[in-house]
Parts: sequence; structure tokens; C-alpha cells
Amino acid sequence: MNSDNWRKAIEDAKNGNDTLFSKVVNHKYNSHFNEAIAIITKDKDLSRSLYTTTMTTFWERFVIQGEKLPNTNIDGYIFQMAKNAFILHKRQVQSYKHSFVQPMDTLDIIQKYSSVVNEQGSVDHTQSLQFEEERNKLIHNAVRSLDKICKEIVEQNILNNVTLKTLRQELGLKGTYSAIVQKKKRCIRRLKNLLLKEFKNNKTFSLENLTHDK
Amino acid sequence: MTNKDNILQRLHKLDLTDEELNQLDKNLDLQKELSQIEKAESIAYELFVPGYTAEVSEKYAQISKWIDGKEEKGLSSTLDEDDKTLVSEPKTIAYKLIGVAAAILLLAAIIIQPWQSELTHEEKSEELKRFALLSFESSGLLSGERGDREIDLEFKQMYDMLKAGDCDAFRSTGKYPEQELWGRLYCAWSSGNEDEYLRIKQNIIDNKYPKYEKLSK
Repeated sequence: MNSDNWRKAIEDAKNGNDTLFSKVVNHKYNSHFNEAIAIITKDKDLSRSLYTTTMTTFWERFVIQGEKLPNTNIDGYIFQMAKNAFILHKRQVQSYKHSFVQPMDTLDIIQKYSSVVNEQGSVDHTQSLQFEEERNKLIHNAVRSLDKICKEIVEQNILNNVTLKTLRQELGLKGTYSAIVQKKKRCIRRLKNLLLKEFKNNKTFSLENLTHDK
Repeated sequence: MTNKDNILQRLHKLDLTDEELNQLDKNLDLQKELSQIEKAESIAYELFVPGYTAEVSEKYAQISKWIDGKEEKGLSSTLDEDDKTLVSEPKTIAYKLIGVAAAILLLAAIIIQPWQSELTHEEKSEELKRFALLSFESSGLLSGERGDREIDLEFKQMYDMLKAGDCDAFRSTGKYPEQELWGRLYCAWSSGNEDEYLRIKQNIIDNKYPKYEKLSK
């Protein structure tokens, strides 16, 4: 019964209208989740923060990335997500939360990588510092391992400075983030796995160098 | 991919069952591997869908507001029948009474002293800083969306100063009035310069820059 509201809210949001989604997020928190999550955390402020994190991930997965909603009770599933978020919090995985509130690390990395990719699709390392050079190599190795179609999309995005506006225009007036992500889902998944492989295979390069430009 | 990879990737998506959560080795070095997963994912999305990370960041801030009901009015008024049933149960009479009482208190608070009565000086300072940063993040300039790298770098420097709370270094150039005004508003408030704060606040309201209504309460 309750799941119907979530399903409708998700569908609306996929089409670019998150009015209902915002209402359900608010209503469910005040009528249920604030107390339910606080039973685990014993801390109301933390519960609120975990619910925000949970709903952002929920939105990212089911609205933007187009994952299929679970068939089980969705409130129950969201509660389980909040428990996952609490485990992450307890382990003090700070970078997790930062992915939501500090997009600049990733933007910096992309901008620096973009600045050294040349017209031939290779990288010009003379323009970058040593740690940037190493980082750019990792990214470039992963990009080079993509299939032709995916590789061309990345190169076009970088060389032609393709923007979200351009991507939306490609899809017409109804071009939402969800539609854009769906169109490139296969390539995104492939690149993510290739990047992970590069990070793990590189013994000398630390994660700190990957995420901080200092 | 190993099973551990799969579990960590699913933990990143908040998708583990209780049993799986219990299975996780307590001494596992989650920090490093989860950070790799997160970074690989955000780089992959950003390379294929420019602006993705900023969109998620903005949604986090928006959801935080939704929880407080600050962005939508009459939040329970258009839920469908299932949730109307929820709010019409006996216990919701208490919610309604609390809601009315809260509304009266809120109205009184607004009449007596807008905003300051709800937030401490420090909290309001943080709130203004968040609005200022959001004005930068939603502009498209930080992610190179408008295509001028030189301008982006200058813009980014301003953003970094604000992010670091470095109001001494924050200077107006006149090129980005919306972002500069929000930044100066935050700086004026955090430094206790009330005259300057009121002047800039009125300027933002007059120009109806995004989120100006947050100031006109």
C-alpha cells in the first residue's frame, strides 16, 4: 500500500517532476523514519543525517540510474538502507558523505584530466605535475580500454567540452538526468569497473593522491 | 570481481541485508576500498554525464530541506489515498494539533524576528554559506558547462575561498553578481556586519536571485 506512493513519486521524478517525491520524503520522515531510525542510532540529529543520505542514494539509484524498485515493502527497504548508512557512519567512512556534499574533488580530477587529453585522444603529460600525471595515466588507461563507442563518447565530451545542456538538447525537451544516464549506462558501468581495476593494480599510487591535489 | 568487491559495492549503494552486514569483517579496511569505489563511480558518471556529481550534491541539500518541509508548502495535501489514510488515523489528530501549534509558533517567530529566532548565529552562518556554495555549484561554471576554462578557474577560486570560509580573500569582480552577492552576504553575516548584511540581502531579494525567498521570510 505505502509502496504505491513511492512508485508513483519515482516515476514522476524520472520524468523531471519531483513534487510528489519531495512530499513523500517529508511525510515519511515525519510520520515514521525519524523515530524508526533513532531507535538504532539513539541520536535524532544523526538519524536525520542518515535519512538524508539514504534518500539521496535512493533517488540516485532509482530515479537517476533507473534501478528497478524492490518488490518488497519499500519503507522496509529504505529502513534497511538507513541501517547500511549507519554501518558506514560507524566505520567513519568520511569520503562516503563527502561524495554528496563536496563534488569538487571529482570535478578537479576531471578538469585536470581533460586539460591534458589532446585531439589524437592521447595525453600530454608535460602539462601536469607528477602526481597528476600518475592519476591521469590511471584514468586514461581505463578510458583507452573502453570499447570504441564508449571511448568516443568520453573523447567527444572532453574535447568538445560537451555540457549537460548539450546532452539535454540531444534528447529534446524531455531530456532529464535519468534519460541521459540511461542512455550511457552500459559505458558508465564498464568505465567504473575499469577504473577500479586500475586503482587496485597500481601499487605505488595512493588513494590520497587520487583524491587530493596537495 | 570478488565476493568482497560485490559486498563493498553494494554497501556503497546501501543495499546489504542484515546477514551481510553482520558478515563484514570488523577489521576490514573499508575506508580505502569504499573510497576507490566511490571515486571510480563518480569519475565514470562525470566523464559520461558532465554535471552529475554537482546534481547529486544539490539533491542532497534539497532533500535536507524537504525533510524540514522548507521547500514545499502543504506537504501532506496532495498525497494519494494511501497516505491520506495514514494521516487520517486517530493519532494524526495529535499531529494536526501539533502542526497548528507549530504553525502559530512559527508565525509568531517570523513576526518577532525573522530567521534569527530559528537559528543561532553560527547555524545561520552555515546556512548562508551553503546557499552561497550552491549558487556556484548550480551555475554550471564549476564543471566547465559554459565552456570558458579561464573564467571557470577564476570562478572556482572564488568558490574555493568561500568553501574555506576565507572571507578576507573573497573579492567581487562584478562578473558573477548572483554568486558574489551570496558570498558577500555570508561573509557580512559571519563577520557581524549587519548593515552590510541587510543591504546585500535586499539586493538579492530585489534581483530575485535563486533562493531569494529564503531571505524574505
